[in-house]
Parts: sequence; structure tokens; C-alpha cells
Amino acid sequence: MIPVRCFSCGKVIANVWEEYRERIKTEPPGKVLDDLGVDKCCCRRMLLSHVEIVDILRRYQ
Amino acid sequence: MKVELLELEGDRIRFLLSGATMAFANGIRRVCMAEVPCLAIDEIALYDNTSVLFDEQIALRIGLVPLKAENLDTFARPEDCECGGQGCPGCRVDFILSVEGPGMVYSRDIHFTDPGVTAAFDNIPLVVLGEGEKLVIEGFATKRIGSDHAKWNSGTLCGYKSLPSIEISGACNGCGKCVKECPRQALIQDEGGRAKATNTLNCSLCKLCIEVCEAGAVKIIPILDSFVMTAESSGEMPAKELVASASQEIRKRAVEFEAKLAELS
Ligand code: SF4
Ligand code: SF4
Ligand SMILES: [Zn+2]
Ligand SMILES: [Zn+2]
Repeated sequence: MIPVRCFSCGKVIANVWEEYRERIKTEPPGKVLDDLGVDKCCCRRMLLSHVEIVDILRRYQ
Repeated sequence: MKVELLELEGDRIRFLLSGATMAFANGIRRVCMAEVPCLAIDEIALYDNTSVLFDEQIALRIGLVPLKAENLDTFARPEDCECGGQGCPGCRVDFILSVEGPGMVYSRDIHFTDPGVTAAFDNIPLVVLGEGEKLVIEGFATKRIGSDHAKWNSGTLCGYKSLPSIEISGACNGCGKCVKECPRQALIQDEGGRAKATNTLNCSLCKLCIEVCEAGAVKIIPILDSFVMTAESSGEMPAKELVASASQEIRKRAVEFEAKLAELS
């Protein structure tokens, strides 16, 4: 699951996660982040580097 | 003291504060970040959780959801409340969250008993539920400040810098190196080719232009009583309100301090 807030600055980033995940399928991630108003490098890395493993792990629930 | 608004956009504000000391500017910054009271979910009781996340992880995620309150002023901090911190409607807002899978649990599924209180963002994914999985939580939110716990931080990025004055002396030979070097586009070349400051507010005082200028013509001098202040709220309140409550908070403390001093003398 995407963390609710940025680890460094505390800005909420989870609210744009689903839109970001859909849009990066066709657009460059940097541009999507600009559009979504995520402009600090600390918040950008939260979304850029996130790997959603919840869907993989829950099969073994 | 003079305040000039430079930018205001929802949860972000930028203003020029002049005629103040650095201590005062820093005071505002610190109060914006850690001392402006707001609501956050404080304690929860998990009745059912068959999701993939542990109870503690869900508690953390729920706590970090920023809450908007129309009537924030009517709530008291638990230790200041008439109930003496035991919990009453004056210092607590109860909520219930009950979702059955499959599907995603969002912050909008948190239902408060007070209709004036809602999650500031309604699409924060909290946890994903599979077929037959269930999440039932009851709990309450309290009003506190960021220095108690990061979930009450109402300001995220708050900072200031001195306003610089950029001076180009007559020694400038028009080579244009400083214009190219400046990462903030604060300099341009005028018709004669000489460097000229255009965008002083954006200058970050990095002094790269000084390093690159062979003629030694650039001077960057911070104006010590003017500050470009930036504040960003984490969603509980608009940035304007954040700075306003920060100044109120400073005033409140100053009055308390004055009363304490009067007691002593
Ligand atoms: S680098 Fe120095 S000499 Fe060259 S344009 Fe800038 S101020 Fe003038
Ligand atoms: S100090 Fe840095 S930001 Fe300011 S004008 Fe010089 S190069 Fe540009
Ligand atoms: Zn951040
Ligand atoms: Zn109470």
C-alpha cells in the first residue's frame, strides 16, 4: 500500500496514487507528477519508487 | 512590520515579510509546522480485521489521514477540556468505519458522528480487501498539535529565506556567464549586454553567479529584515488559515508569557 504521507515532509501523497498509477501507463511519470502538483523531490520519490506488493502477497493470505 | 502576499493557491502560500527579525520569521515557521492545533484520529478499537495489513499498520494509516473540521474552534485539547482529559463531545469526535470486501477501503469510508468533520481527501487508499475480508473499526479523533505527534502536523513545508539584493557594478563586461549559471533565472542581460536582476524573489542566494563572474561585478547581499516565507498546509485547512492561526498561537503564548512574568515580579 502506498504510504499516506511523504516520509520527509508530511504532505499527503496517497490521494494521487491511483490516478498516477493509471496515467504512467501511457505518459512519462515526471510529467504526471508535475500535473498532479507533486513538485518536491521528497514527495516525488515516494510515488516514483513505490512498488505495490499487496496484490501479490494477499494470495497467500 | 509589513506583509505582502506573493502567491496564494489553496494549500500553498508565499508572502514577503519585511521589518521583522529573523527570530520572528523563524517563530512563524516553527508554529506553522508544529504548533497549530488540528484534528487527527487518536485511538481506535479494531473489532474485525481480516485484511492483509496488520492492525498496527491500519492504525498508522488511519491516524495519518488529515481531517477537515468546519468547527475546529469549538473543540478543546483533551488536557484543557472541562472533562479533565477523560473524553467528552467537547474534545473528541467519534467515528466508525465498517467495510466488507472485495474492494478498496478509502478515507471517505470513515464516518464521523459530527457532520462538520470529514477526511480532507476522500480518496486516500487505506487498505485493499479481498473476497469475504472485513474491516470494522471504531474510535475517536482529538485535537492536538504537531509536536505531540506528526499526525497533527498541519503544516508540511514551511520555510523562509532572506530577500536578497542583487547588485551589478560597473565592472561588468557583459560576458553573460552569470545569466547562464543562475539556476533560478534571476538574472538577464539588458540591451547593452550587462547583467541585470529581474527576478530577485526567486534568487536562492546560492552565489553561483559570484563564483562564475571573472570581473567580480556581482554582489548578493541578503536584506536582513525581509523574508520570503513559504507555507504549505497538509490539507486540514487552507494555507491562509494556517498562517493566521500560527500568528494567533504566537500571540496566545506571548500573552501567557507576559502573565507569568507579571506573577514573578
Ligand atoms: S558574469 Fe560578471 S561580467 Fe559577466 S555578465 Fe555577469 S556580472 Fe557581467
Ligand atoms: S545567487 Fe544564485 S539564484 Fe541568486 S542570482 Fe546568483 S546564481 Fe541566481
Ligand atoms: Zn515530501
Ligand atoms: Zn472533554
